[in-house]
Amino acid sequence: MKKRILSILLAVVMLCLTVTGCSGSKSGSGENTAGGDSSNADTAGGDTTGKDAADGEKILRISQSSGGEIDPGVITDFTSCMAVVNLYDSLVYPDMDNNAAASAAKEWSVSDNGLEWTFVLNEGIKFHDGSELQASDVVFSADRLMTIGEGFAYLFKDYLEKAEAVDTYTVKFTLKQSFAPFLSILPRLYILNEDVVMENLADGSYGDFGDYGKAYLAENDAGSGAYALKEMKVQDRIVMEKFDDYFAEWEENAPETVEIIMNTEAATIRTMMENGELEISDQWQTDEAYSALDQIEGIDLGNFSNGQVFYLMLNTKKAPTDDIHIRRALAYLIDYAQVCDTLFPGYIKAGSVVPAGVVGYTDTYNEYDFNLDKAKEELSQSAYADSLDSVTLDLAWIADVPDEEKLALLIQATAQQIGLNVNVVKVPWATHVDNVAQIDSTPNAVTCFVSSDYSEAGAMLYQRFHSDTAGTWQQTEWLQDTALDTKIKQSLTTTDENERIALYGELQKEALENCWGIAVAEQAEKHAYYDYVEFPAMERAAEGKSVSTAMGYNFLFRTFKINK
Amino acid sequence: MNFKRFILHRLLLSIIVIFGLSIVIFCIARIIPGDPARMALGATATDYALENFREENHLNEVLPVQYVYWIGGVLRGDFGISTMTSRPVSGDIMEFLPATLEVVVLAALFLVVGSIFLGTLAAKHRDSVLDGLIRVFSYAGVAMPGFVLAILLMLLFGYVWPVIPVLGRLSHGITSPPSITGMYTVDSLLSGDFKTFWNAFLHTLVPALALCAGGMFQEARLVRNAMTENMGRDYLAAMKGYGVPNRLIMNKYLLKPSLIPAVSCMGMDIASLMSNAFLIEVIFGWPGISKYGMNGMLAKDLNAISGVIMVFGILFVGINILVDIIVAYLDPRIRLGGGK
Repeated sequence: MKKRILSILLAVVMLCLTVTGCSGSKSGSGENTAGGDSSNADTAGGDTTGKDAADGEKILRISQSSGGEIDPGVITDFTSCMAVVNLYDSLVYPDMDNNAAASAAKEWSVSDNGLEWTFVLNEGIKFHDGSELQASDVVFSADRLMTIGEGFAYLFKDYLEKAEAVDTYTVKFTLKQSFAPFLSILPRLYILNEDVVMENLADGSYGDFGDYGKAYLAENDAGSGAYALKEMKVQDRIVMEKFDDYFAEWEENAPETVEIIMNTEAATIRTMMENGELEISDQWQTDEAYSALDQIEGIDLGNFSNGQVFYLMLNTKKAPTDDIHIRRALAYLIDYAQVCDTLFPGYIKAGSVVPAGVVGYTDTYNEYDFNLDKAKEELSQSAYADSLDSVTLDLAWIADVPDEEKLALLIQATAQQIGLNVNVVKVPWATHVDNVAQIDSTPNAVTCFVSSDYSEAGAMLYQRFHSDTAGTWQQTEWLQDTALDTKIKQSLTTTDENERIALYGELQKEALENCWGIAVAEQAEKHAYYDYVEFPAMERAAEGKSVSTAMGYNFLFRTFKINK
Repeated sequence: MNFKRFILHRLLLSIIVIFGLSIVIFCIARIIPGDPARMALGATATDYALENFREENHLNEVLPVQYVYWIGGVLRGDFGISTMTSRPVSGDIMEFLPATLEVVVLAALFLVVGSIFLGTLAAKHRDSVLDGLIRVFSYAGVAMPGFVLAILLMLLFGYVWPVIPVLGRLSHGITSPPSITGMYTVDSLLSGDFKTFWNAFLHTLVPALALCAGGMFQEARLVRNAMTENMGRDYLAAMKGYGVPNRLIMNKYLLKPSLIPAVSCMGMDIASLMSNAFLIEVIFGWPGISKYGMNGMLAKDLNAISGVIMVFGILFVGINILVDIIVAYLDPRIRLGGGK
């Protein structure tokens, strides 16, 4: 019997040794061939036995949340934007100072009435199939975006009348009404290769245009961006490689291959980074996970404010937050210093209801700070002052972002000190989206992050307070105020910049005085990354300079450097 | 003859079960609150896009008519377009299902072989140190959630003893084999690429182990208990008395009847491996259908949810039929019961 047990144990040891030996040989083979097919779609950044990519290989791998798509006509989320800004060009793009910089267009002009915008294209821009980018492609891309009506079409739908090609390299946009930040939204009009899309139409509901290339563009690119798609593995990874005929300049040592890996699982990310299979982590890790990553040799931590504002949204049509004094009391109840120093290290107290850095931002009117006396004073002025015991305020936090619970609990604790009952509720995102479609099911307060659609204060003011967005996750305030809507539209259509900025200022003042919603802090987008990677946004933030507030534009990979 | 009738009976019942399942799936997916078009296209989609979506997906029709359209599509293998990936759900399933099956098949193999082996070993050495050791592992395996074991295995093979790859389906630099079944181990073998086969197989090992461990230890306990219980039966003592070789008694007359309770549980456990694979797929960066289905739920992608649950349902029913057949084979009383 003992002999049998011994033989079984020996067999197990032999099996382990076999596996060890075989995987060791694979390790070698992986390293030797790393320069070859370096972007196998099913390789999670490489083999853990093979360690990191071969020395000198300019590969950049970054983790992101799943759901990334690459069709510019349907995307709006972060992962997708990160891919698309590298695969496609637009006429202009937002630089790190949030100004519109020339891209496919070399110059532009606007008519006196602000209704006609004319752009002259750079000649010789190549699509990834080698054909030339022309004005007709811009017109086709605009028509496609507007016809499909998804993705970023909502930015254009109220303003864009038509796009037309004046000649081969000149395109003219005619607006229905003047829209001053038109240049700011143009980066979201990505230019597609008309011929490629038309050659790949499938059956669909867009008449002669079939599916308008939706099926094809879900897995292929038709762009002229700095990177061309190598492999699109839905829900898993997006692999791009350097496009040698790109018209604009490259940074020396820019990555030749980029992989966006759709996985944010902490243990996986840690293993990948430890093994040199991931150069930059996503921004969705917990502080504990970042601390663990920071312990790995050669990995740095950094953060920058990306224009995303962490709000406590307040339902102004439901008791007790229908009372301005209750809302203002809540604003005084938040310990902003604790939020930014302890709960969310790196966050910055918001100076206004719009993010710092966008055109028209002002922090002149934000009077709120942590002050229990003022909170009590506001509470005493409210209509509910005599019946506080019977009043309960529901405060929801989004289950998908566990860190939000910290803010909810902090407010609950401080509210208790002044006799205000706060009921903290955990809500999954999908349920929250359903709940906020009706006033009655919208909670009194909810924690939520909102990023600006483009780099103007008017964008956030529209997103947060215009009636068009009432009942969506972007506005649970349910303001539905016609006069306010008119003011917002007026500010967006004012072509004189100084005048427009003044109007943005007035709206910010009104929002803060009435405390429609509380802008708690500006998010610090945190990443762990290898020290051989030069990450432009991190470096600018470290120098106190601004970074792009438009989603995806801090990740123009041709501006990154792999110094190894 | 009776055995054939038994199988036919099970198949007919399964058709009714799958039909019922289709109604339940359809209703649950449609009754959940919220406008499906708005959920699919987001808060910012234009009215035109929303209306177009409703028309394309027959959402303006009454529920029974919608069901007819949907089930008609399902019977043709068309589950509609996934709003999450903008591709046909059937195509997504064809892409993701083989990856999951690859792990699940190996996990099922581990589960069956491991549980019988460990159970038999424990029973043979009842109340010995070995039995105690297996018992400890069994309790630990049953008590520990699969994802915890997955993380521990990842730490073990990712940091401490990096001899087996733990992430993805293939190593850096290994090209995926030409797609025939979608399962890399099978496809590489079919195309005669043994290097890729070995690499793909190694990548499957740790996820499969993490996936099957709980079930394997649980089944091992069942096998062990059934065997120790049957050991005292008179017919075994008689056989020993007649000089029947011990090995024959053990493997045929003791093991076979002792497997019946374990096999029934194994069927359920193997079928559950599909849905339990979600966290394993997330942790090991495995692009499988469970992860796809879960992402579909988070994105409220009705077509993807319906498609994935339907496929899981069919597989679940199929595995249960297979288990019924195996149990009937092992226990004649079951297959003969219908032919009295």
